Amino acid sequence: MIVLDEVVKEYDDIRVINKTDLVINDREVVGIVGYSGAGKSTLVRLINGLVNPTSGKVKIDGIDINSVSKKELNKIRHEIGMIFQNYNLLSSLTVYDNVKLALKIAKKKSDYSYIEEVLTMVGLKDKINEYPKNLSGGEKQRVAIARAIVNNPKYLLCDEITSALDNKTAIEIVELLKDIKTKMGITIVFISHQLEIVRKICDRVVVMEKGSLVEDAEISEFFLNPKSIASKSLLTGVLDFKEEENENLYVLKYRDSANQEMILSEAIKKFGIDINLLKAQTIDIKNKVLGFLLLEIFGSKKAEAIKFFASKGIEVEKYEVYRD
Amino acid sequence: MKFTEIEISELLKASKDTLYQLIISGAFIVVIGLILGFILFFTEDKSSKGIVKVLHRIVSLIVDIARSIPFVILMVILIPLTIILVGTMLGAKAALPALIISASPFYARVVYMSLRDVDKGKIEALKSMGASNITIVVYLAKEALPSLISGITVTLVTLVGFIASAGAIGAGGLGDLAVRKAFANDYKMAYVSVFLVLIIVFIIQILGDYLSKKIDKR
Repeated sequence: MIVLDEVVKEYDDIRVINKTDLVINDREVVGIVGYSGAGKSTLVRLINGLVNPTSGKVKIDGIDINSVSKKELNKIRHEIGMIFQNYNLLSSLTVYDNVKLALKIAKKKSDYSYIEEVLTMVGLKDKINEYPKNLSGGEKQRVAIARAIVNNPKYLLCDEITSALDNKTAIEIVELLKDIKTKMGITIVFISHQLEIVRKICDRVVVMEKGSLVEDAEISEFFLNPKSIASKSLLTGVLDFKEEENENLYVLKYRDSANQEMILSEAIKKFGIDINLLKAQTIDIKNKVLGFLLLEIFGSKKAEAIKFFASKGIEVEKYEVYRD
Repeated sequence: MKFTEIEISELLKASKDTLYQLIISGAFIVVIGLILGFILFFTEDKSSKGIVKVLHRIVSLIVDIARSIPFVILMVILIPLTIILVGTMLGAKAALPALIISASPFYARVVYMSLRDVDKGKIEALKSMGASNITIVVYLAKEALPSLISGITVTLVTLVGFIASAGAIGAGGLGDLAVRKAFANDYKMAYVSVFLVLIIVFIIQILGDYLSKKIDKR
């Protein structure tokens, strides 16, 4: 379990992390999202002690990592793999040696077949003797993943690991992580500003803004019911609704897009309302599909109709545009 | 072009002196430069305080001052120190302290810049794996090796120039021979001496480029 207890981080008297409490349970996949400069990268570096808090405590499995010796801290770090946006592979070492290095540092035995097995798992068996410069971005990130998991860590910190990759490769990398998560039961902290990537892997989303956690929600709740302005603004990028606001515009959010009931036509009959469907979109989240409808609703019994939708488990929200 | 036996033995002796100075001072310069360069790099951290910060300031100051004094002047003002260390102010050996003091800071800066060019993210990655400081230094040096070697090449070429000037003020070697012969109107010998200096420079450059290229996997 990762616990941040009233953690504050300041650089030269400038606060980058305001007093923060956060608990990440074992085997959870938590997405930490927010715009650049929100403090995400600092937050993730607090977890493995690359950054020390100005005040507060960071506890990994109950141990305050900033109160132990350097040697102890390094031991804890063997349990926490980390993957970076820019891969950070050593260019002077081959793929094999890059992965082996993590074992060597952890003073674990490294036999060829084990490293080969890990590289096979990330799909790079045939690149085992290449140098990083001969690999594509996606391949480099696979090596970085192999290096991070070779010690069989309990936690995996991912700092914007798909940001330097094209969309297709990014999705492949996330699929690989999901795979690893299933096989190894690892806890993942996934930092990203790309919600379309976060939604494919995370169980839970934490939103950061200006150094504070402004929202912490289960993934589909986050998409259906964002509370903070920052979240709504982030979600605007995912939903492709570009209309101007007007008083009749509503967004209907379906928890399960494969809804069997004919709720809309029932409402039209029941309340004598008129509906103009402007846009519809589905968003797949982990193993669910959420549906979003952008509607204009007219008629005197509009309010009752909206209540009726809510009673059928559909979230209804007035359509608002959030600009950054 | 024909050479008398005396001329040949003069050229051989001068070449031997120059190479002797080059190898001995070169070895010291590389070692001292590496140490100072690594100190400069690892004490630089903005957040560092107290003794680390002071160490950085001191090393930085020494390196910059020593680099700023022209070699010939440094050689002259170091005569008292040279006499204490070597026992004489003339001959091949006597040039060594000035050569080392003059070129080590130069290489230290080169080392510092090579290390600074390594992506900071790699250090972060090593730290995140739980690497000790020594491990970080070793792998950082490995990452910077091609440019550390290019740096040695540049430094040694500069050093050959220093050695030639040292020769002009009593340290012997090819520089000394070229100057003496030119003043005596023996331009054949002067040119041959210069030619030999050039050969040494070319060999250093070609060897350095080859090595650097061979190990560069970046």
